[in-house]
Amino acid sequence: MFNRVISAAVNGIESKCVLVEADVSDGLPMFSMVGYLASEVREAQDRVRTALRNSGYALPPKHITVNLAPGDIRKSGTRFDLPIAAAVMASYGYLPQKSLDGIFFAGELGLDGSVQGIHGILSMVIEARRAGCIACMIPWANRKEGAAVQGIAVYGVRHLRELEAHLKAEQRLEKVTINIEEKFQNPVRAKLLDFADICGQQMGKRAAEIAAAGMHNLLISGPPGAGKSMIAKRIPSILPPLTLEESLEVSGIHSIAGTLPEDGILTERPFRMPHHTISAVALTGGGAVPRPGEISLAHRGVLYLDELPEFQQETLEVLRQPLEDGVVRISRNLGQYVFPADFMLVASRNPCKCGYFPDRSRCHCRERDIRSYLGRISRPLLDRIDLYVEAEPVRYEELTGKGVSECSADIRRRVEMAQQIQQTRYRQEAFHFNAQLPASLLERYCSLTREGEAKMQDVYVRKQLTARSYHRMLKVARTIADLEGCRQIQERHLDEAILYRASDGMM
Amino acid sequence: MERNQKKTECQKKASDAIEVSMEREVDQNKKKEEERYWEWLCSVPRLYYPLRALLLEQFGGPGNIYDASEKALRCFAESVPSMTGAGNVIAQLIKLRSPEQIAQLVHKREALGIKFISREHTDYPKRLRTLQDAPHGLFYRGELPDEEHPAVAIVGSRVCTHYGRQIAEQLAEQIAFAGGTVISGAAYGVDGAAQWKALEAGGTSCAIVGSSVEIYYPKKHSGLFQRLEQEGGVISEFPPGTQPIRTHFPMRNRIISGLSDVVVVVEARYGSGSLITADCALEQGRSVMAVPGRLDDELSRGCNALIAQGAGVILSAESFCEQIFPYYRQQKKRKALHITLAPSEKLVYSSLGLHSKSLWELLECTSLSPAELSGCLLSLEQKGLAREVERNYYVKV
Repeated sequence: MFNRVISAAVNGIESKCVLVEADVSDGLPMFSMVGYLASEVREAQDRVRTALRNSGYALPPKHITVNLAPGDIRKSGTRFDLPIAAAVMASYGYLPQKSLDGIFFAGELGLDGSVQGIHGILSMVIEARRAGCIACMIPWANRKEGAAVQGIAVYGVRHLRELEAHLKAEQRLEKVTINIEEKFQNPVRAKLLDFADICGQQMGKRAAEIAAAGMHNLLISGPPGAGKSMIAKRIPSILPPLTLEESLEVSGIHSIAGTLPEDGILTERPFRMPHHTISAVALTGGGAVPRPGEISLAHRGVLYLDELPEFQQETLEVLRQPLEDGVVRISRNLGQYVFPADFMLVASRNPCKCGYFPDRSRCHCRERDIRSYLGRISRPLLDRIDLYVEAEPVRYEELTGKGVSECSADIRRRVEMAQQIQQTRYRQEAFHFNAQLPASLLERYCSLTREGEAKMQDVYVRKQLTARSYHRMLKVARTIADLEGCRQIQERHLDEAILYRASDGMM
Repeated sequence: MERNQKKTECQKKASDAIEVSMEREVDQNKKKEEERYWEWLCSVPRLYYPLRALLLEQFGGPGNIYDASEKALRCFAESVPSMTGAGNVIAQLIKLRSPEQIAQLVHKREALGIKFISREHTDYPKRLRTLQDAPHGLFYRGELPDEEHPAVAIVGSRVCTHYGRQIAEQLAEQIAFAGGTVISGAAYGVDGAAQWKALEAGGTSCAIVGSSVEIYYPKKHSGLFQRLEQEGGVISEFPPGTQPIRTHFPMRNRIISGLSDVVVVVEARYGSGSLITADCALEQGRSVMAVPGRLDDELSRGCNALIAQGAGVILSAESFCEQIFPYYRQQKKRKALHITLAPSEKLVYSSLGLHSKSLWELLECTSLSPAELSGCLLSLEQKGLAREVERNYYVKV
């Protein structure tokens, strides 16, 4: 008997419908699988056969043929176990043929017939909805992730027996529902790290605020233990919360990488902090079956590179194109994969190997060593960093908590307002934030007063700025003015922007 | 008869004159030859001063060493077991003994534009001549330091603070105005800063290096070396082709102190190389002066220790020059400009000092906001009252 169910293959971050067909007929007893399969898909036959037997379904010796169509898409992963099992069960007559109509299946099987969680459910359920399915049978572990997609019934399955009972309408499973709107209206943000925990670091915190407001990339330099990582880790808490659309987009990427939280969908901006030994492929994404890398996982969030000079040079070079385009393109002979990678880069570094330069009473590094240490960061990468701040050594009074620090919620209000202003100002343009302002439009959006221009002229010569660093400073001044709600960049905004200038002096 | 006598007398006189001039010529040729031998001896790779001194003591002069039998030289090498590697060096020396080799050495040196002077030469610096361990020969580009005017060595740490750099520059500038020569090692930090400033102020300066003259070390100071070759001198005890090795630097320190009348130590850690120079200076009977620093300053420990041992204290560049240069007259001070400062600018200006202060120190002193402070500092800079010496570090001007 022949049966057909719907499942999906994951391709990059998108899914494509795959029809799983099973035919059981007389002939030499064997289990054959076709349809351009990766080896882990081929292994499904052993899992399916054993799981069915252990769940109490006898499989009389017959010729079983399984086909995954279309045949020109490479199928990989273990998500086809459940659809194959369902099609085989129907072909043996354990399930009514009709009950499979318009039902989407995905999941891995254990040998005891239990259904295990898989990666990429979110994009598969979206694809199922697009293909017009009425219900999705997915692993219990992934039920919340799947339920985040509205407009399709989602059921979490724990065991093959449950599946049978449900499809035969003997004992219906409960439909999983999440009120996603409510989740976004009343977000629970208690767990986030707060800027109020940071003692001192007035300038570091301010730089983080400016960076968040204009989505500028930020470089923090300072001695060990000054709190560089503390600042970086708190940046997501001052960014505006994810909107529902953004969340689905980001969750889709995390779903494929298997880094989604327990309750299904991301409500917080991601913060990724890869170790400096990371390879270029792990950072950008790739592999034989391309998977999203750290920069895609940081999409709409923060990518924090601690100890920037320690990263391998080739690893950092690959960041250049994504920083510019907001996406990363990976080409394979089977096609091009595009992963979104629109993130805010925050990096930190020590000013020298020992970390105490320019405090010469503590730093014993030689001039040449300092130069070579800082020289490891490539120029083109530094050119994409707008803000530079030096973390000051923490003093005892600050450490013991005299004086109250501002909390993240207050800072976030200012950031949200500044972003709102930018949104309105750039509604005609192809970009949204000051950081993305091209040099050609600087004159239009960052005009200076007469005094401001005189000041910049002096600063340009005195601080030995380059045209690039001058432009970056202007953009930062624009953001500072936005934070204050000023239409015109004033002298005081320039004064502050100079403090955070990303000049060649940071080499 | 008388006429004949007169004639013979005249002939005698004439022949005497010829003899004298011949003698002189022979003398000069001899000297030239001697100078060649000296150069040959000084050009043997890895033949350093102590072993060379022993050789000379044993054989008498460079010519004798050149002419000595191979056996005698080998015996000598075995007789000095305390010198490690003496055998190899002597073997090399034996190999180099041929007129072609000498001609090649001279040619190579001249092609590099390097001059050589031996200890026996009349133009050899007088300051060095009296030293017990005066180098047997000097390779140099540019000129040797002026004998007429005082020479001051300014030495200090390679990793110096802005304070040290500033003091070194002030001293060098005043010495240049007074017509003196600044002697130093052209290293990073104090040395280089002082020499740059001396040249910039129109003075002259000599660098004594730990490599051969044509190798610029540190490389980043190539510009300084090129200027020194034009406007001062670069001097070394080591023959062309010698790389800068650690052990060379203490050796060259004795020449730094030897070539100068006063040695000024600007900033030095405890046990730093600058203190070796100071020790050499004391042994050579030069006066040593030190720039005092704060007690807790790691980089001033060496200086303060020198002062405790009796070194002179530098109170200001001007007062120092008054002591050293008899005809030194203080430069007219700039007229105090009447610049009006805003109250916050005054506050910031009063918080600045000669020691560089970081931005956060200033934030704490003035309790201004970062933006306000930055504005004040910018306008002070514009008025020429402050300077950013390193990112986020400011000093008073």
